[in-house]
Amino acid sequence: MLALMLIICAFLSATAQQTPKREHPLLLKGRITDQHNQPLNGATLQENSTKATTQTDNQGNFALNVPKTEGTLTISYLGYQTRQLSYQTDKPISIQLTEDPSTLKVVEVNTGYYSVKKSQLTGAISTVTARDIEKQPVANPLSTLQGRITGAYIQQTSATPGGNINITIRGRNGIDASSAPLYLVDGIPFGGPSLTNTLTVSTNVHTSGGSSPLNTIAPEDIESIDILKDADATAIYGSRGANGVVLITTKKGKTGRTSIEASAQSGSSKVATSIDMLSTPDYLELRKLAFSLDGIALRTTDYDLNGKWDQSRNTNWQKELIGGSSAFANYRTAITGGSTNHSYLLSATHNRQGTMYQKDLGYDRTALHLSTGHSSTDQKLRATTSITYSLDDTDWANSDLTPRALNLSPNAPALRTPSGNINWEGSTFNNPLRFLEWQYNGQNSNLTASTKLSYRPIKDLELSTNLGYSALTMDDRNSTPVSYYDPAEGRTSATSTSDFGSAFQRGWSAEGQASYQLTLGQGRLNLLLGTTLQQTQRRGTYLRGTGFASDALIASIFSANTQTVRSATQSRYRYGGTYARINYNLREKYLLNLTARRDGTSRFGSGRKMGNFGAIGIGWLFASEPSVQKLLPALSTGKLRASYGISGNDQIGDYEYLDTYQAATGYNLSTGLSPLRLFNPDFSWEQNRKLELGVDLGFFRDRLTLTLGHYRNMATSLLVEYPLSIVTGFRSIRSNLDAKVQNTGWEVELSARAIQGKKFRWTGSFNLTVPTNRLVSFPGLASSTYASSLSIGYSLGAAKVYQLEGVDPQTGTYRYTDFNGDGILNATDRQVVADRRQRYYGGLDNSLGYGNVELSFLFQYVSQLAGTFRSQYSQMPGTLGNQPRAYQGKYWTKPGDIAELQRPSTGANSAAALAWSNYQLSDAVISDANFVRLKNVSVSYRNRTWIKGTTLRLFAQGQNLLTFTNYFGLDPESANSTMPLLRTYTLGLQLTL
Amino acid sequence: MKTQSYLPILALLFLASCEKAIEVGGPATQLDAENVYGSETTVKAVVNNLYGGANSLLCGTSSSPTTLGAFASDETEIYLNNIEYQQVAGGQMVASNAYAASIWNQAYLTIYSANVLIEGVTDNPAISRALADQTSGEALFLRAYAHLMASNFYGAVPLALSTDYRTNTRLSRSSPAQVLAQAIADLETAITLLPTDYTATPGERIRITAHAARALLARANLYAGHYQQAIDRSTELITNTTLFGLQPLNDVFLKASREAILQYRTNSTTFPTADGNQFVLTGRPTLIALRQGFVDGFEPGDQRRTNWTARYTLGGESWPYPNKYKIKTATMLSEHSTPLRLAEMYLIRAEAQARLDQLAPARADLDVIRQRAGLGPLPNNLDREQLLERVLAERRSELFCENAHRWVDLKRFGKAAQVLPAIKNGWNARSLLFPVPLSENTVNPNLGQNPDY
Repeated sequence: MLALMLIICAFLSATAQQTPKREHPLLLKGRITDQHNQPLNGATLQENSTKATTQTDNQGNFALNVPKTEGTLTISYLGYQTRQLSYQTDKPISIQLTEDPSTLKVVEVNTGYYSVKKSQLTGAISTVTARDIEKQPVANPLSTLQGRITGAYIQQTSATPGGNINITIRGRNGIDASSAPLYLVDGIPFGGPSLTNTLTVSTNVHTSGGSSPLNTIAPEDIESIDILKDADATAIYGSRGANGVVLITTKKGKTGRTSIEASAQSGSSKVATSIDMLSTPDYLELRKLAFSLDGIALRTTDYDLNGKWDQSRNTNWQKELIGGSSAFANYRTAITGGSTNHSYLLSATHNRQGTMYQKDLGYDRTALHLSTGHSSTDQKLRATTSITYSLDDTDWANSDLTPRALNLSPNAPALRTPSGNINWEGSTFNNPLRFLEWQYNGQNSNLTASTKLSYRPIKDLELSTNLGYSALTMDDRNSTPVSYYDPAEGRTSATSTSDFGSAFQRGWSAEGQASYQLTLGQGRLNLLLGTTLQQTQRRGTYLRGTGFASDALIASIFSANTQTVRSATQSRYRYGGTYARINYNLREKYLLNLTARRDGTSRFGSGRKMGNFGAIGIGWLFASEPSVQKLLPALSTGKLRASYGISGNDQIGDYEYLDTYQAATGYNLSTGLSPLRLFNPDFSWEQNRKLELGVDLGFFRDRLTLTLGHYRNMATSLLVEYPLSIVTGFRSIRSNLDAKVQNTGWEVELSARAIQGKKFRWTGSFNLTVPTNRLVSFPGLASSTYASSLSIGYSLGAAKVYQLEGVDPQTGTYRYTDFNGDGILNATDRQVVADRRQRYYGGLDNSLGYGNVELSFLFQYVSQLAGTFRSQYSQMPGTLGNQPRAYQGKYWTKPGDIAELQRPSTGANSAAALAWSNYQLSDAVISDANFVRLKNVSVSYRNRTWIKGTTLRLFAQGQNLLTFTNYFGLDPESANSTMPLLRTYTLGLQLTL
Repeated sequence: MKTQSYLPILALLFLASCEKAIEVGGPATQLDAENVYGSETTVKAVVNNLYGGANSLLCGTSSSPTTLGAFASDETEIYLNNIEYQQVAGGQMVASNAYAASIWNQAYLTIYSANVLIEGVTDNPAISRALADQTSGEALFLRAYAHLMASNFYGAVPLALSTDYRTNTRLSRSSPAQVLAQAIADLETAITLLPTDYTATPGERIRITAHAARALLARANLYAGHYQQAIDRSTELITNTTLFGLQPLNDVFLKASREAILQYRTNSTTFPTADGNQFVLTGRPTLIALRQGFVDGFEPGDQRRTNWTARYTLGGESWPYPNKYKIKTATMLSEHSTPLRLAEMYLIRAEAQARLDQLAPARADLDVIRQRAGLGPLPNNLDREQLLERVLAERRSELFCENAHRWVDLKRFGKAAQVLPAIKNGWNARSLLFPVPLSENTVNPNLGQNPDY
């Protein structure tokens, strides 16, 4: 509450001062462009006597209040040569700046608590800016990182709108816990490890991985995303930096002329891949073969063959069920402007994604973003405030139809009767359309507000506070109306059910810091001291309504005959810490960066709450040494850097160290109480020790830059849900595991401004990450419950499996190696390790420009071992359910056959069924899943319109256009049978006034 | 804004980072274990949860012993195209079968809840002697019930007798004889602790009493071959005519039926019993219905065929279904699931007597059951083996689709390998025992696996 008041107070004070105190009588106007006469957006102008500054708008125009009719200006823009210039207020200025890549060294890198010049950075940070984010027609900002950064693997688990995107920075640390990083939006912690688990009604909408809270942020409102990777960058986040940190910075206003921007983009998406399945004649032949091999007669439930279903029907169910195209639309308007010491930005975005299902469903998001900035005339006081409010609304089917589209037999009946009703074909058809009746509606709202105030009482001292507030609400409903059921079951709305989830999360954070710099010897010493306190409160209720007078009332809990509270949760999380940084920069050549943090979390038991973390980073700018300059004149930048430190992880649920009971199923109309967990008060931080070595090189005035990095991280005291036999009453117990997981890797980033002609421009960048993930030690592994899953020396994605020898030519079933030779195949024979991991991944990005036209394309590539299609598709060949055409002709059919795939079986032959189920646990289900994907193509054309002072940009974008892969399955990226990636094409226009 | 106004805020923030600042207090929706066992009200709530959690073990839900037993035996036919259920019904299970895990999970969750309560009330000064006794008695009964049911399905099973997870996660399996011995010991203790009347729930029989413990003890002793004990325990119930008596066929499963020894009150608001909800057909069967051959196996004139089974007809097809519980959906609770009832006591005593060669009293007990079903008395020239055959047949007609009785009986009488392959294509003898769930095997290799899985 205190924090909220502070924010409001700060916000009011910032806005109150928006009204200029005195009128400047003289206004200087002009326009700034590059050497191609393209406007430069955001170039800075400073009046040299008053130090008054402004920035150009996206037309390159500016207006600056000046004290006298004549004077001098300094004009600067990142990547261009700075110019000094004299002016006279009665003449508008038109200036061209010349490109100079070497000035990019001064670009400031945001590390969260402080910024440093890129040249003086001792840590490892990757950044993606609005320029690249805006090229991609996606709803989740994390998708835009794919292929663009090193050291972070981003995987989309399902193409369902709002679905989760996993980001793993420098490899998996936890054995079972997520390796989710810490997210900060404008410095305020966002989301949380178990947000989706605690907050939503249990649904099947997002078949794997839940929904992503980042969906509530519109990518268009983001200025930059910084990924903090090594100890030097993350140790200052203490106990929450172990898995890396993702900093999201929203767009800020620009001083100068008021500018309005409006853009509209629309297009459509389709499932990008499909699997060729058997047609009816081939399918029925396979089924009949299964019956003859099993030697059994048709059973009542063999509808495809026993005459219940028309054997002449032949449907491509993937086309029928998920083959539709879904509309994609994106609209944004923004207004920005301000005067010398004030700036503001107000924008509204709306995004809509439709569905490929045969129903009017979709996902909508509307976001408002306000940012204001203020500085006092003496530049001592600065205040920035950002407020983002977004609403999203998901109407979706509570089931992904993709797996159903695959395994439905091709002669299954028509989806609808001639009269348009769901066809149940005399209760023999589990019609997939029923799952579209099973409605899910989710509505989320997200308010994030933050204010940063800073004050410089004297030149080298800056005091600042960052106050944040966030409120997230999630309301969702999951309804099962009568239409979900076969009418033959005789149900009425008296048994319809509707689940209602309602949750909110409210958090505040307050941070204060002081930084001071002084000259010490021949160098500069930077000191930073800060403290932070945060709280997150969550509350959730989950209600079930059963029995409605009519299904038309199913969305109202009040209309239910009986209402039951299924669960109600409340929790509070507090987190506080003190951090410090000491940075010494000797002669712009030798860098030392020390960071430390002591913090505490409410998630651990008494005496285990506080922890200490810290890192040391060093850098040597060797290209600045005269001897090196002499020897390698082409080398414009050369930096060696190294860092080592410890950060931690507290990303588990709240109160897990307590021995508590909560309300649970009762009996005879009385409530019950049940223990929540097995009691262990003794767990604490997971620790990650990170070592990094890197070299940054720039050649030819930094037109060519190369960064090489190597990291070696060791995670210890792993926080796990230690698996237990259910005989203990629970499946696991929270504890620290005395195991060590090592993540090492190489990262390469190469970028070139290859051609910088008058008309033609070409820049390209390439990145590569080669990660290794390894379980280094685990005392007592063999006798632990992980014995069958983990292996020393292998990645955490590894599993112990059977070794497939092939198909027995006599019996026709899969044969596996009986390692211990006891004649039976059981768990002790699972001795081969099947490893799922990325070998290397990266991207190739190119941007070409000719005059007003820009073309860019991004390739993403991944080399990995992942689960095969057959590991996900558990439908045994020969049972009622379709099979890929690619398996055709590879089945064993008679004794003596040397075949790749075992005999089809209806399931009645238990030897075949057993061999099939073991197949899923064998080394045969891991394969290469390498792919190269043309992730994004974006073309844009920009020109001034006939209306003075306006520009128009036309653009076309394509996402996931092409995939080259040797993988058999829907999509090598997710390697599962959920909704595969969508291919999206859009067209858009942007008008700037 | 004036500089001075910032300074207190900054000072405040700098001071905020001590350990005290991150104290959050206890969660509002949770109660400390210490408090739970510090008051009788909360202990009673934990007992409620023990009952509530045993729902699937005691009633005919879709993953209950009743349903899975009815699939595994010769009683029913499957109507769902689900390979996991089909494997259970066809006797072709593999270790990863989801339903192989469900009974295991239900049993051990109940056993854990029982052990938590036993430890919580033992030597607890905050709890009255009466409540401590009753609670321990109920917990011991359910621990025994769950161990016995698990052993019916898995053969040897681990005996979990405490809440120590370090021990429990590494337990080996105990033989069926050891499980029976433990269950008998638990039940004998429970009898001394439990109330001897139903006054705790006036007008209903939905709490565990000494009678329920005695009935289960009769069953356990029969399974264990302690025939005299089985006779003694069942006799105690049969002769207690003030409380118990056989009822007309259509009244047996009614709420507070005098035949009931233990009933279970559903938490559902849409049906009175999971059994009725599951079995009664109001449309084509979507999961389970009786096998025609099973219905044809009733003796001519057996009124259980007409009163306890029914048919649903649609178009030219019809399906028989168990109609012991008559109501599929209703908000009024007129019936209760009945895990223990008097008729079984007659059948237990008859079988135990037959096995001890006390043929005449055995026949007399069977005749009591037959008479209620409208059948005449058995001929008095049956020898021991013939009489045992009649016991099995009578148990089939009387106890079908109740708590896996038929399936367990087929195995006990050594008839499973004879009866089941004839009606199930590809039936595998290993399926007489369900597999130890694969996931359990993985986390605790000490469990081992049943033969041929």
